[in-house]
Amino acid sequence: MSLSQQDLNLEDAKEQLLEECEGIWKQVEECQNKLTFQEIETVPATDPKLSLLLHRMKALTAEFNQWQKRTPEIITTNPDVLVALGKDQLQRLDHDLEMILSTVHAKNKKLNEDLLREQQWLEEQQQLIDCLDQTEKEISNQVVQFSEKRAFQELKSKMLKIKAYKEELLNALGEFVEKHFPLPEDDGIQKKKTRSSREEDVQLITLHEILESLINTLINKPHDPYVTINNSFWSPYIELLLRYGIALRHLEDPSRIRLENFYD
Amino acid sequence: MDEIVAEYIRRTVLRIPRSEMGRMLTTWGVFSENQLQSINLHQIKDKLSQEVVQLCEENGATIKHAANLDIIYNYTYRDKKVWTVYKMTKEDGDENVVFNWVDFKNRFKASLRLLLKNVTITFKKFEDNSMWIRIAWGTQFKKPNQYKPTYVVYHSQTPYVFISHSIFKNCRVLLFQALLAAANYSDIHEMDLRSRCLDSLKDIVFKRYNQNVETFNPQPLQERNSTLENVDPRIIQEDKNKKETIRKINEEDFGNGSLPKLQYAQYKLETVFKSKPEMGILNDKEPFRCLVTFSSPHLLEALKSLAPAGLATAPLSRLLTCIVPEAKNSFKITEKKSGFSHGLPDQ
Amino acid sequence: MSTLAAFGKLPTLNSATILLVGTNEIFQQQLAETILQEKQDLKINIHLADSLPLPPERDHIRPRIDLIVFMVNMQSKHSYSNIEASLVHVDASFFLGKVCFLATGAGRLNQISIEVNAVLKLADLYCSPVLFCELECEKIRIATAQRLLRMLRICAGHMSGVSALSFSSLMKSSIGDSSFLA
Repeated sequence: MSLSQQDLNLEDAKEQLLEECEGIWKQVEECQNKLTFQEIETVPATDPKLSLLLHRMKALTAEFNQWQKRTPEIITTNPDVLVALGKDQLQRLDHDLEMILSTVHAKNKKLNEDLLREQQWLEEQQQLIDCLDQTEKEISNQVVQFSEKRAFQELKSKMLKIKAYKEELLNALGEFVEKHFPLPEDDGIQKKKTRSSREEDVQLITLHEILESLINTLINKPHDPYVTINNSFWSPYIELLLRYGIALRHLEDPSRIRLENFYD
Repeated sequence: MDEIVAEYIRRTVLRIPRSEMGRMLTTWGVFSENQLQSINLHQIKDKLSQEVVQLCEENGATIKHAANLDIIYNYTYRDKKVWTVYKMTKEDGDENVVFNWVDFKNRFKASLRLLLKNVTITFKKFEDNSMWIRIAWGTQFKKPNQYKPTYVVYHSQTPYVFISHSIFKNCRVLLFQALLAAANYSDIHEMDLRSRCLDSLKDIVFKRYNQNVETFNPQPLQERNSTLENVDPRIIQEDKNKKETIRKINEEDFGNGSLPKLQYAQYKLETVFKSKPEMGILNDKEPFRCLVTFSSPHLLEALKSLAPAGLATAPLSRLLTCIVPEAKNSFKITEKKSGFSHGLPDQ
Repeated sequence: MSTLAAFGKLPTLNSATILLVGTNEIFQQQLAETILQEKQDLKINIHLADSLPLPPERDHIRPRIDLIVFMVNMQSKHSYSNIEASLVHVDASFFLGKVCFLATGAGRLNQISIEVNAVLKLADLYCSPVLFCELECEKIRIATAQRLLRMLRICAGHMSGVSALSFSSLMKSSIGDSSFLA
């Protein structure tokens, strides 16, 4: 019952609205008729501005008067129409608000995500800072330990050790040579002591001395490491050095020898 | 082998792009199959050119061969030169002699050699039925300059000759005489038609371009319109008929096919300046000299699209549309008593 | 001489019609397409013409024109003189806010063959606004299309409370180009 009643009311309302629309359309048609009777005004080609401005002024005055006279139009008072219109507007508002809500939701979600991401980032940065701090500490400790003096002393002690070792080696080598390669005569050492007094008598030198002179020449004059053989060199020792490849003869001058390049 | 020949071959090889090298050397036909295969095309060009010269030395190549390679190169890149069209005419009553290429060559050579001893003449015929003649000019005391030759392109039994312009003035007369003698004509004159595109020039003078309005097929036009209409039913073309007329006029003027390629059109104005007497800037009797040049990579296409693009009203001036039918792109506009006449060549 | 009448026909329900006049077909087409891409709750009709008067044989099917846009290509004198000649065929009532000039290609100063002042003067002579627009740039084209659509809505009477005349008066004062009014 109530439904059909409502339908009936709606029909009435529609009818009423249509009637109103038709009334307005009739007005429009009447206006149009008046307009068509009006002559079309062309613009003068030479100086259109003045006539256009006059035209404009007239039109603006007319419009002004129209606005002055005009009373606000009231839409139909039919309650059904009003209800429908209100409903429609409310629905539209509802729709708009829902849209806004969903937008806000979406925005919120995005902001939350952003926040999370930022926090994560912050954490990572924090970790990085911690890590860097630790590294810095370690490095600074090392810096404290490393003192110039200490290093210098260390180097010095090392050097001393090496020097001692070298001395030891040299002594051992000297002893070995002296023990196993003595001069041919027993009184060689005694004769050596009196070498300056007996210039003409050639004094033989020990293998130790030969080696020393060879090494010294090689170290001091690397560009010309040859030593000239004179009568003070006992020839069997020279032969020994040459045969075991400890010394080499000069390619052109057989009277000169040098130490083999052991370090090459 | 002469040192000049070797150097000339080397320079010509250097000019050839790598992609074309194999093809051109094969067309040249100086090398045997084995020799061609032995050439390494992927090495530095300088080395390659020396290798080619080496092989030429073995084969005993002459300046004839060198000139042949130059013609092959220039035939392929004919658009690099500017070509001028000349037209030969016969006197009335001259009988048509049966044309023969051998006679043509002999007569041409004889005529040139009669007056100039130091000259290299090379002929080469191509598949498109054109005869290319390369002439390297020398003087009485100087050997021919191979680097500034003249190229002449001739099609048998046509009155047209296409000449590329690196020609000395005094040699031009000799060349014309030789051409007239060889092809049995009595006079030759320039046609005021010049372009880089040799094929387009041929299309213009041999009337091979598509300009026929009768053959015009309405199908594509309707399609074109429908594509415009189909864009959106809410867009309405008010002046469809007008556009249609513009298209028709354009098609009458330029045809609907592809157009020959020209690079410029020149108009030499020698008309009297028409002004109100009170202005009195110029005196009316002296012609007002002025030179107007239209230039574009593809001039005729550009002119054709002027009206549809709304940059000019259709139909265009006769002066612009008559380039193809008149077969010229240099005009001289002079004052005529009987109204305005366009560009008759002054001879 | 046929003149395009501003009120010759009844308006059509829920639709508005814009007329683009200009010689450059491609620009017209582009602008028309851009206008139609804008979402609208009323039906938009776009008529294209290269000059006025419009062909009379189509008068009976053409709806009432609400806004005329004269497109001046700043790079072509031909375009300018064509517009100048077309203006004569327009009903004076159109100049009460239903005409607008659209100058295209003014950005590339070295290629301009019409002075900007000439267009401003012409528009002032006909008491109508000028819009500048580079149609090649898509963003500017869209912005111009939106401006034209707003004007069209007003001119077609779809905005209650604002008439084309009052709107154009507003535009005039906002531009404030009193230099040409003197």
